[in-house]
Amino acid sequence: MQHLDEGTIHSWLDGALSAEEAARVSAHVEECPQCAAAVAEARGFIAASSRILTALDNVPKGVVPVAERAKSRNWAAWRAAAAVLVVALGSFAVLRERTGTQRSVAEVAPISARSPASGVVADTVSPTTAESKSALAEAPTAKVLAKPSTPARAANPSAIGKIENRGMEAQDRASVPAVISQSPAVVAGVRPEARVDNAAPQNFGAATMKVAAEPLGGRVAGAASIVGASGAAMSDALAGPTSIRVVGTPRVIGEKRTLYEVAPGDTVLLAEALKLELNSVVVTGLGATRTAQSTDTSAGRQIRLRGATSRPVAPDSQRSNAAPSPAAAAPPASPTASLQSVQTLNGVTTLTWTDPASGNTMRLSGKHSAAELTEIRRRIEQLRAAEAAKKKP
Amino acid sequence: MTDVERLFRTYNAALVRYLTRRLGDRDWAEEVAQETFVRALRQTSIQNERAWLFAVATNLVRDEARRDMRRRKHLALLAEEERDAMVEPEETTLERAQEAAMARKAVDALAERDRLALLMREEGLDYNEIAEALELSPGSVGTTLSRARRRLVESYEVLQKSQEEREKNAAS
Repeated sequence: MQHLDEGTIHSWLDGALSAEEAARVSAHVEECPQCAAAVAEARGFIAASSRILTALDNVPKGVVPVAERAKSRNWAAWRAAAAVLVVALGSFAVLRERTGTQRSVAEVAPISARSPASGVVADTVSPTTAESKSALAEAPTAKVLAKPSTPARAANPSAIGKIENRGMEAQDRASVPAVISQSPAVVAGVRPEARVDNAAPQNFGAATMKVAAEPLGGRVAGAASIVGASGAAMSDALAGPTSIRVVGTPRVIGEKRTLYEVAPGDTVLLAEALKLELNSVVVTGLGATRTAQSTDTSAGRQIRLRGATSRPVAPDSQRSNAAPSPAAAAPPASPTASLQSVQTLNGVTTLTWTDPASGNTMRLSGKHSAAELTEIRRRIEQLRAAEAAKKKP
Repeated sequence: MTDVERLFRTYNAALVRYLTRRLGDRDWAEEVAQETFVRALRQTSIQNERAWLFAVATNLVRDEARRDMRRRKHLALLAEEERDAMVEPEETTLERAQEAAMARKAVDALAERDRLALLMREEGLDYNEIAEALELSPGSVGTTLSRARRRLVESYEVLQKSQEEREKNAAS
């Protein structure tokens, strides 16, 4: 038989030959080293051209893929660090808690550590002295909710059940906007009450943990922050290598706007409405009375609140109504943090909350996930607090 | 589910990818794909759906390309400017962009028929479908594809080499 031509070899490799022809080609290749080499070469061409054509798919479409990728890498790095920290602090908290008189819900930390891909956002904070009125929070088996696919286990229901003074707040949250409405990740946590005067024995286990995992990416994707009797410094350390700075203050009537740069070329906008809006949150002092507020569903996806909600109540504060609501409640970055709502539209996520100090409605928007924005918010608040402190005589 | 809906669900992804690779423009590709399905609506019956869709899409591109060449070029330039304005801090991104640019060049260097046959094959069309869509004889598809693949890989390698040399010169 004659040597095979290239077209025939490709037809054969592409499965385009009849059974009869294919058998003939196959038999020839077996005994002809020259054609066998040609077949090997053709295989190489087929694979290589496929690969080259795949490179064509790297076509930008409208939005800024370059900046997006750069950003996600930055976040990934410190997220990883945060994950490590969470595990360490979780263990620490558990150890401490076992020796103490009062148990800490920091036990949920191991949960998130165990299921990093489950999109768990655990937010555990120190116990408070306040009595929770939330029926759900009082349920002996307050549950840590997790995505159905990867259920996080409540580490020790009985232990959690004993913590009557503490609330349990589970929030749906996800760093991938698209996922928010479909398969919400979970924030399970307990509200912080990290007041110093409150830092009596109960506070020994104080720890705030936030672990946000991207449900799709499967990697731990959140921030871990520690707030507690002595945890503030740690949370500062977590602010990470990237620093936030003000790059502009566009003037708009009725609003104070500030542009912050969180990474080179990556800015977020903070708009502070100079009057109190109704869709915000009522805060009374440190013990926040949170009125869970539904966000405007028409404007974007919103995060639903799942599970038990209760709030920290400082001795001098009012009781809050802690009914579970569809509001988006992000884990507090600081003890004064209030409820915030999250909207995502066209890839731009907007957090809305009320500044407890001024009562103004704050809006923070940028091309980030809700989890990232929440962390950026925390850093901005730190920055603002530092600036405010400087201004004071 | 209507027939067009089924067609859309079955073939849209492949068609858009094919067109994107052919055109280097995702938005344009989606437009053409949609127009293709609109045309399919008007058909009473289509014998080989996939071959028909790819053939119509290919012809649409050809017609539109002629008509809109200048406008497209202008838009492409604008898009390019916009892209340049964006930050590009990552090396991997740069590498990927370079790869994409070289792939684009190598694909553009192919003869139109070779290019289309290859892109269709990548979307899983068999030899008969390719022959039908491109009005070739089925027997010549193997030859067309083998030539297209060899040329694509070879010109890509040439581009890669000159790129490497440029980098070496820049480094020294």
